[in-house]
Amino acid sequence: MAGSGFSRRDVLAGIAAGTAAGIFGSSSSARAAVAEMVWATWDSNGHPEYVAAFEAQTGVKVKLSYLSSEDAQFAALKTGTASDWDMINPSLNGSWRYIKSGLLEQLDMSKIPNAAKMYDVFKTTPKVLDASGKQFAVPYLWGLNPIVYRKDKFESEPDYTTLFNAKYKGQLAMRDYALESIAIAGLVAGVPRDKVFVMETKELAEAKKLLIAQKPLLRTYWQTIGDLTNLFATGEVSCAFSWRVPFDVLKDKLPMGMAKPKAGIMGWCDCFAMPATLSAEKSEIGYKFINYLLGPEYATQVAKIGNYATTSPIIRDTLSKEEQEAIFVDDMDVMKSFMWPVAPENYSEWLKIWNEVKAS
Amino acid sequence: MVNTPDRAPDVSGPGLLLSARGLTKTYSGQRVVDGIDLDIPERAFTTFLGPSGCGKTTILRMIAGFETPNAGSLVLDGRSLSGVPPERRPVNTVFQSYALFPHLTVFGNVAFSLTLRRQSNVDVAARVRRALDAVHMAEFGDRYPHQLSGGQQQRVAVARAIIAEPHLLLLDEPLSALDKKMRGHLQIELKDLQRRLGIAFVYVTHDQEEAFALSDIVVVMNKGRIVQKAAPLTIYARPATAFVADFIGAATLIPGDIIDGGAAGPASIETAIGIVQCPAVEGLSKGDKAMLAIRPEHVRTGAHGLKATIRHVVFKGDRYLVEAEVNDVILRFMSDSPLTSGETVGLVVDQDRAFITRID
Amino acid sequence: MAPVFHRGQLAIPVTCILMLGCIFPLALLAVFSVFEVDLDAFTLVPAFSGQNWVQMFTNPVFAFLIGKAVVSGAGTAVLAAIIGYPIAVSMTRLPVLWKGVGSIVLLTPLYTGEIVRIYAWRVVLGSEGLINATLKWLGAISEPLKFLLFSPFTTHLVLLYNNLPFMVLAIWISAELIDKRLIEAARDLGARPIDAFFKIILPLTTPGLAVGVFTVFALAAGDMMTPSLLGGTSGATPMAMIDNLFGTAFDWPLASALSLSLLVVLLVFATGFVGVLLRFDGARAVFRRGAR
Repeated sequence: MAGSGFSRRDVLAGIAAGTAAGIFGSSSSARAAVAEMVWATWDSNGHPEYVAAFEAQTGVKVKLSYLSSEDAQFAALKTGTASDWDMINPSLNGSWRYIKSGLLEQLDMSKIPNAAKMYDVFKTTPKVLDASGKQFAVPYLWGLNPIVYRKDKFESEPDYTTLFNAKYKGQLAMRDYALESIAIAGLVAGVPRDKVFVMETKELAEAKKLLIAQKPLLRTYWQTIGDLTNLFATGEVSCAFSWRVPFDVLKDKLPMGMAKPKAGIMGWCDCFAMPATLSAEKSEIGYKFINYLLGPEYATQVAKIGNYATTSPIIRDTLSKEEQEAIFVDDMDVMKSFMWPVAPENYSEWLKIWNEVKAS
Repeated sequence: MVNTPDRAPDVSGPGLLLSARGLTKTYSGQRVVDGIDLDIPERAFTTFLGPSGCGKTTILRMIAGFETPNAGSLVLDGRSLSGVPPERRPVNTVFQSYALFPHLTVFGNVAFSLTLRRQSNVDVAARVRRALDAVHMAEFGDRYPHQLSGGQQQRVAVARAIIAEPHLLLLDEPLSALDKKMRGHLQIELKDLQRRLGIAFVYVTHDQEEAFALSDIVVVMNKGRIVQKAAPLTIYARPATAFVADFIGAATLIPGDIIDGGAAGPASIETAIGIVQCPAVEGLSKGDKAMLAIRPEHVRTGAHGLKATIRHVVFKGDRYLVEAEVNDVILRFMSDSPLTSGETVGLVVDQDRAFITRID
Repeated sequence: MAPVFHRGQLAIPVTCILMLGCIFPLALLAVFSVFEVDLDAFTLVPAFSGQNWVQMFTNPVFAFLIGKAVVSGAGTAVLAAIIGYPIAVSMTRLPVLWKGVGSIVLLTPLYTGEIVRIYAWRVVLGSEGLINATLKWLGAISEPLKFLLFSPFTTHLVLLYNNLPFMVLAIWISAELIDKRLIEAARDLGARPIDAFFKIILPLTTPGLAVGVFTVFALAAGDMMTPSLLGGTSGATPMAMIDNLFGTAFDWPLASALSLSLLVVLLVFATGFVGVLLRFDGARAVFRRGAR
């Protein structure tokens, strides 16, 4: 869930946590046999039952260390205060930061047989490669960020323009997140989806204008997905750019709907990677683990319990139509309208624009 | 608050300022002031005298309005004080600890009551100067309380209390925090001030010398009741009860039986030191148990007197205070010569000045 | 013989900790603020660049956000003082046992987490919340009052609620120290209770007021959660922007410059408020008495 790229969370908390880990967790004593691997990941990606099969097969215990934010993960690695992490979880769109900083171990793809079975869009993504084409991370779990809405309040399926429509004043919400919000405004302004993350100054100004005009229509900007779920549940908001969580949580109580706008669907994707400093022994286990993540056991568990799809179609045909629909793999055309949020190089500019919008 | 006068106060009498009827104050079931009836005349200096806890300060606080009586009435200038808040009583108080406002200068403190009444600055300045002149503090107007000595603070407290020209000035042990020399000095000033201002002072003290030095009327209190109310000389010479005799001037009290006289006039009493004939409190008759009060100045040495053995001799500067034993009774007297312990002397009691009083 | 310490020497360890814990990070921020970011290598590049500071002074968004924080903090502090005084002064008149109870009741809201409180406020103030539902039921309104939630009103109501205990405690302790006879003396000299409040209690509690103002101002001006989760579209704060810049944007230099600017502005205002309050005779008198 929270794998959707960068998020605005408390970087200081992350640094503090990292510092504590540096002080108390620096016992990197080399052991003869690897008994345990620490996997830093999101709580939704790493339930104990998801990795039980792996533990049974290898006899290696997977210790789950849950992330508070992508920024905290990056900061911890960058400042060297996360030395107990053996396997980490960069987002597909954020991988470049880790790769550029030299934080990741280069991967030998021949040790991951299941990688060959991945969907092409993930197998061929250049985002996990460095400038010279070497691979450092493997995408393993993905989803998309739909518009979630109340079916009883909207006659037809909303799209991004709905979020800017004065008719729905007071029922709308946007995420308090420069990257996605400005991108959506760009799409509404007519910028094609492969250009929105490299918008030029003029287009950015256009997006900004739209966002300022949108502001009075919004009930609020949402901060966390729990926050937005609460807003739907209490009737404050009936249509928002969202993650799927409010839909899953509330669909039995309220007439919830999910819309996948044609203009472009924001996808998210989590990757597996290993810190550059990892020992050879542990790396071997790491290869086995990513192979497991791309295999059928993990895919089945995460699809049925968590409503998420792995990057491999390995179990797709075993799922019912409903189960496929739930994880967006019923119609593979969805892959064609994907757009991956990428933090632009001038992201500070985006942030300033976003704050100007909020301060207007 | 219960405030039904059970006896109508006499307000027609000439010069009556304040009258209390059945005044009672209870703290957690204990009657601290126990049904007091009292009239205080205009222009007089009245002193409540008694040991600590006798209720004298509580009476003062009820007159000032800081305490509400549980029963009884207070009438000032013919107006009931019931329900009148402190700020609307024509009464001002000089507090034991001075209670000067630490954030105001001497001028500010003295002018306090005038500034509440929005008088012109010129008028205020003139009146403050007069009040400070009256207490010889004219040149201290700019000082802050912490820059003054105890005696100076006391003078300011007096100036502050008299500036509004109250009908009645209440003084709660105002000199008790000062050294003896300063106390004596200020007693004279206070008495002088009271004469010049011509307003009634009600003074509270546990120091009988102070009470005698200042007062026109002394009200001796014990256990919440008035024991005796009279001019200082009467209190001293004709103590109404053994308590008064003991509290005032530390008399030796010798129990005995009235064998002759009484009603009004001298009586004879048979005691451990023999039969003594001397003035007596009114209302005694033959066969009553009574108390013979003998003060040190009522005793002198004489060849034909009672046979006494010297027990203790204390040098007092001008003379010696001697304790001598007569038939297991200790008599005290002043002597010009240093008698020695164990020596036998004859003692003569001045039968005109010794006094027979009631047992409490 | 045991070594004899001068009283001043006892402060050395604390001073060292303060230096390390406060001065050092600030110095680091100052250094970072003139660095540049190499986004290719994703590292901070030591430099001596005034570019971030130029932005601080030229881009109005920074001044706006910092100014908003100051106004928010000052407004909350003033309201907290106005509401806090009657509560604090009433508490001084309670019997001792009830003072304990009172202070516990006062602090109870602080024991619940901030997030819990925020969601509780949503339940109370929401479109279908307690207040709107009640008003609707009473027939006072037909449409929910939307301004109750996700507006500057909400932000300040909750900032006030969250920070009021600090103001009340500070004033209360200060008011407890006032000699009750000073109040009696004032009443005796003709002051109505309201006069006694303005002429005696208010001046002599200025140190407590100063502590309260300082605390509430700092907490309210620096709050990020309350504005962003309850303030709706008005919830932008400099703290959130700093968070963004440090984290997602990896623009540590700009974040450092903004952090320092915010800190300096807040400090200047807080010191200004406290300085003004402590110049009053009341505060001086209290400090003198404390020193004697």
